[in-house]
Amino acid sequence: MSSNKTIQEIISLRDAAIEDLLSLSEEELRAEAKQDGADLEAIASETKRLMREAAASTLRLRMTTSRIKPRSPAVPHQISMIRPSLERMKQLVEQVFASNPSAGLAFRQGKMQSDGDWQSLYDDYVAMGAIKPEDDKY
Amino acid sequence: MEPIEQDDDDLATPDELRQAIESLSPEELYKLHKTATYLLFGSEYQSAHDLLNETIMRAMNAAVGEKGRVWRKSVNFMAFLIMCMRGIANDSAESFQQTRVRRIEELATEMHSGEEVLAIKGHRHASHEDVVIEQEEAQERAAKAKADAEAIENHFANDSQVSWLIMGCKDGLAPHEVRELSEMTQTEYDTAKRRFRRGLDKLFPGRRAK
Repeated sequence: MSSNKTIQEIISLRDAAIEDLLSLSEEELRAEAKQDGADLEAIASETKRLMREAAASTLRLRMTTSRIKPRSPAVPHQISMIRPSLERMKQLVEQVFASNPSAGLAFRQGKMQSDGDWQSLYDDYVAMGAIKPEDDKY
Repeated sequence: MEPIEQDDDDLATPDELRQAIESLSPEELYKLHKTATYLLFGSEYQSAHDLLNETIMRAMNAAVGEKGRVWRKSVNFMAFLIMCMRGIANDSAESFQQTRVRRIEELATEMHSGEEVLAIKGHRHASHEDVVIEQEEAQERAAKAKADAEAIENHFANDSQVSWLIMGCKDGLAPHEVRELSEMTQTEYDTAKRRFRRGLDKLFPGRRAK
């Protein structure tokens, strides 16, 4: 049997398992996690943190290499190499939330906001031009 | 390389992508994690986190107008993520190393060449030794896939319904064909599929969500 055929077979088997997983209701999923001794909430929280960080780091990398081409006419700001204090960053981010409540709601629904989360969000908003570092007298 | 023009309102912006991530429920996030774990079978990825990380990076790259996986907002976000993860896991045409190097090279700027960006990020182009190592790793993956396939078959050898399901998957049969051949009802087929997945969890405890 060729190695490629073996891998294709494994892929088919794997897809069958995924199809079954995705068919589970929320209740069934929670029951299964409990049966396995898995902490669903902890895994979910860690997965969200990972995805959030992956998104933020990609934006930061793009800023570093100066390749962002925004769809809007607004010119994005470069991320300041020196961030303001954490409290000042929170104030600035809160101001963005005030002008865009859905963004704030989505962020808070994450429940766990570490200092790193605030810093990442600050960087992203600077990158997107929602926060202007030169306007901030820190 | 010129960035891809994206003026379609259906294309997600970086902020919309971030909001979509924040809006995922714990159950959806848990399913994503488990899906990523199953996708490790036959893939070069070593962890569910690596695969999820790669998926989000590609989606975000597309959202900023660069080459990547485009999320059209008319497509359910979960469905997009799962299809994206599956596509990345199945992408056996390129090695993991090649994929990483290509991504960094895409970041080349007018200020920095691809080589310089790679150097900044601590990467380098594949040498002859790298190619040899990749070939060895590909052989190891194939051997591992073969061992996994045998272990799965042996594990379910006494369960005729699951064995039918496995045979059907391997031969590329549609579910209704497997049901007809095995004379299983839809319920029996679905139950066999559930036993199969739960069996995988037990057979490969290191690759399931903890």
